[in-house]
Amino acid sequence: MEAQELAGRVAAAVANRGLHEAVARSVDRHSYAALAALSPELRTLYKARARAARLRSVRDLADLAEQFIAEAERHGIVVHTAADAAEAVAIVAEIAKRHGARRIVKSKSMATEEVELNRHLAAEGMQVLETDLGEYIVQLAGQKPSHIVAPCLHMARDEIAGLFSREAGREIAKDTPSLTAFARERLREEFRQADLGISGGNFLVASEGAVVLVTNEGNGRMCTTLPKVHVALVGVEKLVRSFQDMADALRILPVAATGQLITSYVSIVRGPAKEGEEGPREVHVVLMDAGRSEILGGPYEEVLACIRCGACLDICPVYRQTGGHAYGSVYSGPIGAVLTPLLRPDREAQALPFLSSLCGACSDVCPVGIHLHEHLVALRARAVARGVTFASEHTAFRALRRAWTPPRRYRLVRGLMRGALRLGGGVPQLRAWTAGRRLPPVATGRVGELLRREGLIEERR
Amino acid sequence: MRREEFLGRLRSRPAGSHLPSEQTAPDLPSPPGDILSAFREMAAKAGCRVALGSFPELRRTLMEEVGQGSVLRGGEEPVLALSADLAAVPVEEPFAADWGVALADGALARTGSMCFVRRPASPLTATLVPPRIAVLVPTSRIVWDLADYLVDPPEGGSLAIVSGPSRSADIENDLSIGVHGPGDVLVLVWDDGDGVG
Ligand code: SF4
Repeated sequence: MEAQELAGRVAAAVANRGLHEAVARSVDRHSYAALAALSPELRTLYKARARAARLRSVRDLADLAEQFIAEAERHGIVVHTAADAAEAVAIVAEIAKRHGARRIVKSKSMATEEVELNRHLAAEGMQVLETDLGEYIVQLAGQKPSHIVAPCLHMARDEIAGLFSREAGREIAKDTPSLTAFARERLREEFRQADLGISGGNFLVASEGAVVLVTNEGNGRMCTTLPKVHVALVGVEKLVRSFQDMADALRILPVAATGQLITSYVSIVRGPAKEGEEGPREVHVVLMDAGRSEILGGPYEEVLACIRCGACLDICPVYRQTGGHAYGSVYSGPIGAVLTPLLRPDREAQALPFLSSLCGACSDVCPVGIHLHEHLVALRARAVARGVTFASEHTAFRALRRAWTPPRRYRLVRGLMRGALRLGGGVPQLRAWTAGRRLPPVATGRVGELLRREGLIEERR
Repeated sequence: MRREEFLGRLRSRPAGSHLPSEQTAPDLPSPPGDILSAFREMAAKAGCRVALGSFPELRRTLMEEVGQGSVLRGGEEPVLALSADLAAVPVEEPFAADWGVALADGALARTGSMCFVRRPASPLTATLVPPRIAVLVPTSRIVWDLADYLVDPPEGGSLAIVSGPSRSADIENDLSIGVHGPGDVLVLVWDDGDGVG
């Protein structure tokens, strides 16, 4: 079977009831809050403006990148360009080494997850601490985030209390205030001592050379304000034309993510601190391509408009049953199933578009109107053309072809199937799917007869 | 990768060839007439405590709130006047402060937000590091939306837009306040006599 490991992970996730409960609790809250936050009229309006702003960015990406570099440098930001993950990691490592950084604090960033920055920096002997509460928890657990907005939504508080108690060397109570207080105290010390802060970026504003970070906890602000050096690693697709376009996208991003009209903090980094100011002495931006330019101008370029709100994960019936880890990619859910095969060439990544019911809920909910389900269908076709298929599917189609090819055999199989369905047994191979569903009664007439009666097809000879 | 090569790769692609042609986005509705009330309402909704008054009244409120606590504050004249009788900690020691006191450069009614700009007299740490903060918001600086505030971007360094206390719902989606940033945000809306614009 192709993509064997993927199938195994999915099966394990589907069998894990505790996981379903944890995932459902979070995603439902996000979805309901998002729905309640705006009137339908404002939602439609904000979505249209956000989509226009983001598509404009995709169309003008090269110009915006050039403008961003010039403007950022005018404000004293050092801009680096990275072709791929390896280059991005090497650039960050080099900056850290140059400053003799040993303790690094980091705020949540999918781009840094994508390139596995922490693992590489740790290999250089640097201590990198995630400071977003959810990221800190998954880091302690030795896991990866399972949702692009809520990294540890798959975990129960007992597990978190266990991790914190181990870290503290004493019992930490399970209630949220005790858990949060522990993380706050532990991480405050790190913020005070860190030599380097690493962040991602939600937007890069070309006309201003600014990096925009959207956060709720304040750790993003800490990472970009307290250490003497700040490095932002950002995918080039995060560019927007202007502050006005950024405001258009930002008006819907937190609504779609968590149902907030705005997050607690929006940081707009416009350069290093000047003489007499507190703040970082050096600010670096690493503009990363890592597969983006290959998507640009192609049939899937619309996905570059994604603002990583996570709404498509929250609404997805597949994500609900599997959680994020089953996808085996930093990007999970519908956007992950579209983006991963475009960024990663391996066969498992190519199989991800099959993790969808194609219900289209993701496209409906997407605040920038990305036609996710259409891309999923197209990427399935691409995967099949590349020979990525599931063995069970192969067997089924081969069996169908055999059963149906001579008309006489087709009629025989059809009759047997009707009998089996009438008896209520269903098809044994499909039982996993039909269990819990009631099939409609088998019709008495046949479509073929009906069509013939109506003269729509010819009489059988 | 060299910069020219990086940009060249982007340029070599027919960007936008699979996107619909550009359409004009619909206009935003006009803001309500009374944006002061809207700001107060939305700041409270974002989890702030909101007080409205004259400068002496707000000064008294702050005194009562802070009491014997220490403050990390900006060096702007109204902030110094507001917190004159309070014990200040040096800007280099933000972690020592019980309170932060700052002057908002702008405020956003639609979201109940306050805007801060890094300048020599305005450390961004004052609204970030102390567990509780008090923010002076002159009514003349309230606008409707972030887009309005950024039409003419303020002079100075990095910006922070603050909307309520620090929050997280990472543990079983259970909201907790004051994770890394301040857990208590007191907004002192100061009718500075210039009207609301
Ligand atoms: S594809 Fe749309 S819904 Fe999904 S994360 Fe991106 S912007 Fe949000």
